[in-house]
Amino acid sequence: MERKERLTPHEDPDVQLMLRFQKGDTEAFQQLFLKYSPSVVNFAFHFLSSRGRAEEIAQEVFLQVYRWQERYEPKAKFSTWLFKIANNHCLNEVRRGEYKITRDSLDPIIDSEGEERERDLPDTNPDEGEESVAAKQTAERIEKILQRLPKNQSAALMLSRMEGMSYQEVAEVLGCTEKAVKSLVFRATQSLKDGLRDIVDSYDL
Amino acid sequence: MTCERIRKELVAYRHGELAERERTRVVDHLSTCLSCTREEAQLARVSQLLTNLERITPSPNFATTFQRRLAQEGRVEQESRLVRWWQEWLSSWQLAPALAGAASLVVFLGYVLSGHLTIPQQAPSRVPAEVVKQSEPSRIEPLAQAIEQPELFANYGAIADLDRLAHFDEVASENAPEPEPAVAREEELPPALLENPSFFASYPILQRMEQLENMESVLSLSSGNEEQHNS
Repeated sequence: MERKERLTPHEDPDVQLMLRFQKGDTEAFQQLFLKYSPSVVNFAFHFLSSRGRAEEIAQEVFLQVYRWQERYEPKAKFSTWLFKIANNHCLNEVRRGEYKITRDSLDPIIDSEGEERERDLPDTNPDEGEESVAAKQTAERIEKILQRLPKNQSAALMLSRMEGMSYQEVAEVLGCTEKAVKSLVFRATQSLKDGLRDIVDSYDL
Repeated sequence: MTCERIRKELVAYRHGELAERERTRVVDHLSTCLSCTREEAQLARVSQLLTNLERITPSPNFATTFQRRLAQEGRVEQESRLVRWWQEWLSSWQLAPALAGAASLVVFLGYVLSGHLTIPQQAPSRVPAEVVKQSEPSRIEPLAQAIEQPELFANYGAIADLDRLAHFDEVASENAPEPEPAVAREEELPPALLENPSFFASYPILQRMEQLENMESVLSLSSGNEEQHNS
């Protein structure tokens, strides 16, 4: 459990991409979009529990990056800066309490023959075994617990566990101290442990 | 360290977020405390369960939709850049005061052309008598000189814009229809012009017109020049 090495902003290759974009290299922006948009969609999804809203928010986040290209200053890792924008957008979305989903997200897709077809949903494997069904059920339980957590707790846990950020980076994203992040992650983990007690207790040393 | 304090550190310990000193304390404690070791194992299990969480991937039309929004954003950006450029251009050129000065000049030219300069085939003036009365010939003379020497205006940006003013050609033309009486209406002429209509004829002042913010500065310059001239 060694402490993680930290990059300075200028050592971060994604910061370099952003600086290239700032100088007009749109390919650099495309690379950042391709690399980070799945993570931002994923983060927003676990925050908002809606794929449509998550995708819309992720697009807003990258539009923000696009708009701020001239003002960008590499003060932190690119991912930290990006998720700070994402977290703020998600919080605003939650606070607004009303979710406008773009027509693109809701409208049926018209295929090449002019027929309407359903949107693609997450893959389901009809041949999945008991183990995978159990894993899915556990995931649903975790999802419900995360939804009940205060947003700063679930965000701290998601950023730390799913995005692999250090506590310091999470602190920068959430605008709090590293100590506060330690406490947020601890409480979120304790809530998960309590909520999944039947599974956790069955685990023997 | 007590078990309670150690347990508060266990999550950060698992995440590799403890400083070396703290980490050593936890490791030492775990090597002697079965209860805390069990707690640590349960937290490890929670971490493992978290990996069951579905990692959402964007839908197939996600990138296309974004591209469309980006294109729209680009159009808006272009338009706002145009507006910004337009505003900067306007402010840097100080078009408003320049045109105001030019407009005053046109009004005054109209006034003069309509009644006080000897221009062949000129129609009889309809300038109200009271305006004519206030315009003494001695004051008009320098202006007449200025009109005869158009090169005086050559470097003045506002003059170049006079052609943007509606009907300027008509006003300036010898065959122009009679100026509208309103051109020479006294109440529309700046009081400063009525008092000292010759100041436009002074070349240095004309050069400075672009910088005019208010009439007072013109007057001070004008009176300064007159004093200089007189001396």
